[in-house]
Amino acid sequence: MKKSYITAILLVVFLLTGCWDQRLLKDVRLLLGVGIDYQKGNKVIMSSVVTRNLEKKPPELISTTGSTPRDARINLQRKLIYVPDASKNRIVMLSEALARKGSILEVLDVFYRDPRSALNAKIAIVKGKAKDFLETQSKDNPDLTAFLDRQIVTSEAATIVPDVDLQSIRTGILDPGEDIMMPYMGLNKSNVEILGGALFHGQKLTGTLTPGETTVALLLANQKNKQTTLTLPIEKGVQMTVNILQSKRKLTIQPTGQSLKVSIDLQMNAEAIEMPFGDFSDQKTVAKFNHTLSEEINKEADKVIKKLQAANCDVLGIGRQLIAHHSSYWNQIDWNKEYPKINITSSTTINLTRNGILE
Amino acid sequence: MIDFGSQRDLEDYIKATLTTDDLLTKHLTIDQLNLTIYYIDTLTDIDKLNQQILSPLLQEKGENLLNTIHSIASKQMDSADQAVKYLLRGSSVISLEEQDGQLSLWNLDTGSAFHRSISEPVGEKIIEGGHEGLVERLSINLHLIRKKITNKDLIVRYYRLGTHTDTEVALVYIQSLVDQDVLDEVTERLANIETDSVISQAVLEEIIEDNPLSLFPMMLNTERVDRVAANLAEGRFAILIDGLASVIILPVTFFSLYQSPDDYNARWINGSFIRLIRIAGFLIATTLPAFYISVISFHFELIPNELITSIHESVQHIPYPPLIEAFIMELTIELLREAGIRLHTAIGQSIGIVGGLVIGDAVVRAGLVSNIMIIVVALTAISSFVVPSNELRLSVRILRFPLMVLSSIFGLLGITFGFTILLIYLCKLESFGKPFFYPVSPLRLRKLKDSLARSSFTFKRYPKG
Repeated sequence: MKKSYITAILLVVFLLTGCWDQRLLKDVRLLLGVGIDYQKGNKVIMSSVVTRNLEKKPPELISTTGSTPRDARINLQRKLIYVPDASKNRIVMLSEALARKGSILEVLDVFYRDPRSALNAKIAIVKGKAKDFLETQSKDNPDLTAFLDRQIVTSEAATIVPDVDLQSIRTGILDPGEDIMMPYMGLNKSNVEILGGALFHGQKLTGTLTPGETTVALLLANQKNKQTTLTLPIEKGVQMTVNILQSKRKLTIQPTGQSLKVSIDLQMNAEAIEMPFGDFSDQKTVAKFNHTLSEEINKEADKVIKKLQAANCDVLGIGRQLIAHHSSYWNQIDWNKEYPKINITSSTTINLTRNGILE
Repeated sequence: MIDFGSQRDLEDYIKATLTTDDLLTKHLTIDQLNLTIYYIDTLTDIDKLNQQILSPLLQEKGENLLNTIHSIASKQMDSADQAVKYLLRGSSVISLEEQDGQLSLWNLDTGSAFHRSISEPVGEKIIEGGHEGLVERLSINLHLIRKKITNKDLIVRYYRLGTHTDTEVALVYIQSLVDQDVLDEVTERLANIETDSVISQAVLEEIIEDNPLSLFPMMLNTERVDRVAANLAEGRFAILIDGLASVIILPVTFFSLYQSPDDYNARWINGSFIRLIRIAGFLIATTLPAFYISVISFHFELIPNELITSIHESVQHIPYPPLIEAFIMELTIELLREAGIRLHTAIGQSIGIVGGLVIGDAVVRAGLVSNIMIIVVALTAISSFVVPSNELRLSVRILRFPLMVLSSIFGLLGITFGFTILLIYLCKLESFGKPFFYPVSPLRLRKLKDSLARSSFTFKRYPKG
């Protein structure tokens, strides 16, 4: 009896797993970043940043073409001695043109279907061609191609781009009541730059926001990260920069008959981090500042909401609230058609609570 | 008085039993009394024999002579066999033929006692506190222990073990602190020992321990007097063997093997910190190479992004799979360690330099082993050195090899399985009826502060048993 137990356990262990699952680090070439472009004739160009098998050499960039991304990956393998491995992949960059075709999940399938592929890799939309973007980087500063994702991570912390990765965008795209926003990057001469947010409707890129607008959109969507700075005009020709310390968003949705009223109430506590003059010890001055700042941010918010509706990108998750709390209304309408038309009002207030170490 | 026949018969009998050349006899006739003194030359202190026995005897006469013998002899014996036994232990035997022809045998303690001076044990150094170490003489060791524990309950029980060696063994314990069940068990096991010789403590340990196949030591060996005393005060037993400087302490738990007298010389926070570091050392020493192997060959997505390129570079040109790579390095380290012990201290140090620096560097340059593997193996070796018990140190050294093999076949799953089996095994072990993995299994949360950590004496009471 005891013997048969042991045999059973050993059999199970040996059959379920074993050294044929082994994949030695020394026998692979790590894929550190991937850029995907669309090529005429329904083909894709895949530009892969792979580690070199030589000591102290920066990763190299290899571009391959294929009818699908997986095909391009197989073509990559033909160019390498070792197997390319996506388990340490850090960034996927899609060209704007490819994203506008409206089927990014098909393109990204190569990452989702492989169990070893890193799903916490960052994703970004590139203005122009991803290949050019990576090639410029690789030519000027080949060491940096391994750290492209750091730029997105730091911008996430500063609430300049949304905090998304390969895994989270898929749930966002497949959710009928929600849309996604991705980091939007581009080249400024030879420098990599964050250009703001790329707005999606479903799988399709439908618009972009500037970095400032992206920050406001993220605040409206209640996705404030560690640090959030806003620079707003306070008087004629004078700008004030504030850091948002706390933000509280309230989303009220009222379906009345056929029409829908959405109001966003956003209250923020802020710290002045740049203001050339002004007496912060005076309550009246501070109240005046608060008033002006709130007015300015409200204007900004209205502009952003218009842009979001124009792009048909429900990044605020209003649809999700409807599904959860007003399902009868949700069932009557076609959200894709309804969203751009609904009335969204916002009331945003900024309250200065700190003024740095200067009075 | 027992009739042994005549003086002549007795001498013939003793000489027939002890045919060795170093058995000497002296025939004396003092005041018409025939005396024969037997002694084994190599065991006897001749000065002692002359000054304490022969010179007083030669000065006495008649009745006084008998009295003198009574006073200087430690024991009267009733058989020739017993006389032989005492001769072998270093005593001299006097046979006295009285005028009426009666023969009596007396045992005189003239044994020579050579022993080395008391010094700190090399293998168990501590920074401060008592530096007394045990020596190879049972009586001196007992003296040292009695000096530390002045207690009427400190009991010494003597046993004679080994049909060939007839070694003197002492069981020491504090009556009021020990668990009666364990005492019965220990005395029963000691009384029933049938063995030829007791040359090393391992022989005795293997006979009396619960499970001789166990990977872990079920007893603690120490050469430190303070460690013995501390363990006795915690209700444990000490077995001392004549001729050996190390004492067997039982029953032990896994965690008591990880304690050092240093813990109790330091302030309690520092003591606890050091002890926790040691326990962490156990985990590192058993699992680190296995963990590294499984990460390198199965799960390299666990390596941080910033590290992956440098690790990738370092393993790129290694011709062997990680398991073989690890074995090469582990083998080197084990060889160096063994060479360091066997050689003279001065040469041992240069071996360390040659091995550690030269081989370590050259092996990486030659591309046999990656430099990350050197770090892993070195860290593992250092972690295994912190174990205060030599026996357990050996166990820990061996334990990591099966885990390494498992991890190279099954990855982290293998380590999980291997470590689980190890834990089950630890929980199952018993040392003289006491659970070995106490107080983790059976779990006693209150006792953890005294075993994993070292809590303050302010809250501490000595446990019973």
